[in-house]
Amino acid sequence: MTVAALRRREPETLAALLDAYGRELQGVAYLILRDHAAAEDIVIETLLTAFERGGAVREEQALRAWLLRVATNHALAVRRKSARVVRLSVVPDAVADGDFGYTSSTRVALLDGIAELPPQVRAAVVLRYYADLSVDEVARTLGKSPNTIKAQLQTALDRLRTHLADPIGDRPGEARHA
Amino acid sequence: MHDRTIEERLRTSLRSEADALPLTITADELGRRLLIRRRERRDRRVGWLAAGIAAIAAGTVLTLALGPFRTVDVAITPLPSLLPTSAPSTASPSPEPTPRVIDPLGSVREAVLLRAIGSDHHRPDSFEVSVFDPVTSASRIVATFPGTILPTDGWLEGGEGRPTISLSGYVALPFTRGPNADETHLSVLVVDVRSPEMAPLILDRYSQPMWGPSEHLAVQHAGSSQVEVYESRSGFHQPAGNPDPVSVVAWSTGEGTRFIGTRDDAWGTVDFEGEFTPTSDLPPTFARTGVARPTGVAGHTLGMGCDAGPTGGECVLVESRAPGDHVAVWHRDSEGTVLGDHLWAVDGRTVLLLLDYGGDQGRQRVEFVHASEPESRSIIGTVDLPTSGAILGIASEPVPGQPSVAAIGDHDGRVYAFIYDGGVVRSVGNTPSNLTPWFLGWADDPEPYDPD
Repeated sequence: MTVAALRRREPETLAALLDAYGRELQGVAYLILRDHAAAEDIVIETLLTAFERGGAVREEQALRAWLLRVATNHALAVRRKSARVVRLSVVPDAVADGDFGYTSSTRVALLDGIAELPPQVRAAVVLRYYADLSVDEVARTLGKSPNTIKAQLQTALDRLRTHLADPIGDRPGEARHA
Repeated sequence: MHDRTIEERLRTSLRSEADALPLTITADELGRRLLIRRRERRDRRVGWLAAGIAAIAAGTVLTLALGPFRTVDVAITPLPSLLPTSAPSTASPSPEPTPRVIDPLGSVREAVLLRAIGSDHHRPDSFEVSVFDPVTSASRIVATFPGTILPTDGWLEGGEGRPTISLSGYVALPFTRGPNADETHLSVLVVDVRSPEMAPLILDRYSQPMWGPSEHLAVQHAGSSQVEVYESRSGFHQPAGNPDPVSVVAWSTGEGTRFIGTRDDAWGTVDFEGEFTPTSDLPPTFARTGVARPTGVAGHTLGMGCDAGPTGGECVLVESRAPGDHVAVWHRDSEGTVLGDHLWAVDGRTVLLLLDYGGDQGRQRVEFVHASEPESRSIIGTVDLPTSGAILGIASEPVPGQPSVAAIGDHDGRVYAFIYDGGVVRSVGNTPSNLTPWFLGWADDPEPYDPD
């Protein structure tokens, strides 16, 4: 996929965009929303936006970051609109005290912990650890300073660590949904 | 569990979860959606045409009756020609001081707050700027703005970033703008607390306002990392060159440099022409509270510098004898600790630090520390926030024997003040009102002093 092809709006550009970036964009949107259908919609919207406006992107290497930014913003907008929907928690299998071995229940607990993070923090975690963006790139994508992102990631890691230690217990100062 | 372990597990978990999903979208489906989108847009345009003609006619009548429009949108480079004053100084982008006399809104221990008034926090009825003294809990309103300073297609979503105030009273408020919730972009409006009746300056498609030296405002283009600089009073646009794809991090106070920033994970400086120079020898940065007391003994300065650390940009607090001549590192953001703020102590040789240890079990611990040497730490008090996510700043140096504001922070729109009193830091809780204020900044910087 070249930026030049995007500028020319060649018909095959959409297919090439889908092939090159579709799966990753779907992953980012899904991990923020936990909704496959909504994630697919976001991929479509992002790629159409890219087809129509992506010609403004100047460099090849900036295209991926730009697409991730558009997809993340779409996902956060969808998340805001559906904020009143109460998510059902995934209750993982019990984890033995002190057992931090990487099991499927640990994975479920981790994903459940991520789902409990505030949307902006969750987006930062997804961009950093799924899309493998640097802290600086995450900051640019979310419109925050690198220090803010570093603090958010550290907060997320702290919370996830706590969540792993006590995946279904009540924690002070936090409301839990049913 | 160590961060590295949990980070690896996060990566594995996220990938296995996301990559297991089938991608069922096809190129044909994309083509169909593109056609539908274009058809809808064409139909909408036809509908707007009649309304547009009527609006143009009405606008012409209003302009003739009332004079120029009161709101000025600034796109990429055009100057807001409807604003008063003379021609732009595009040829000489050096940060000349503004003609306005710097006249702070209050004292150094007072916080400037912005409240959105009204039941709809997305489109408030009005905005109120007040000065709050945490020691006495006294508060006075210094300006009120109607909610209509927000353009009709603008609203406050909540995640746009923090509003901030310049020393002389210009407020930069980021907001969301767009025809609907699906097609939005960020913008910034600038209002003058001293002249609330003046039209706001609207910087369309920009975000992340940062006040710099001489009351200049830097904003970042919402669709790229392009940064532009505006002179606060006149709205004059000063080209920042073309630093894209440099990500500007902060204003610089180093000679011949305007910003520090990053490009492809490399740190460097941006000069007045927008030229990026990679360097690990970064000059000090400018921030409203960080340079509140600009020099210690022998003219040494403190400033944040950043390098490419293991997490993609580690920031350190450096003491410099002269620009680029670093003599000590007083703090390094690492191991989960972030420097909230810093200040030279009155002796000009030792340093006060606000260290943010982040959240743990729904709480956040912040230490107010005195450092007699770069490696030393003496805790003055610990600030224990009820929830994580607060942003804090040192107000002033504790004065023995009398209460003074040590630090201030906010979370969920509540502002907390922390009072140093007899060797401990105590919280005074929220501001008097339970309306949702933003902390804009301090009403004044501390008086300059001569440590010798």
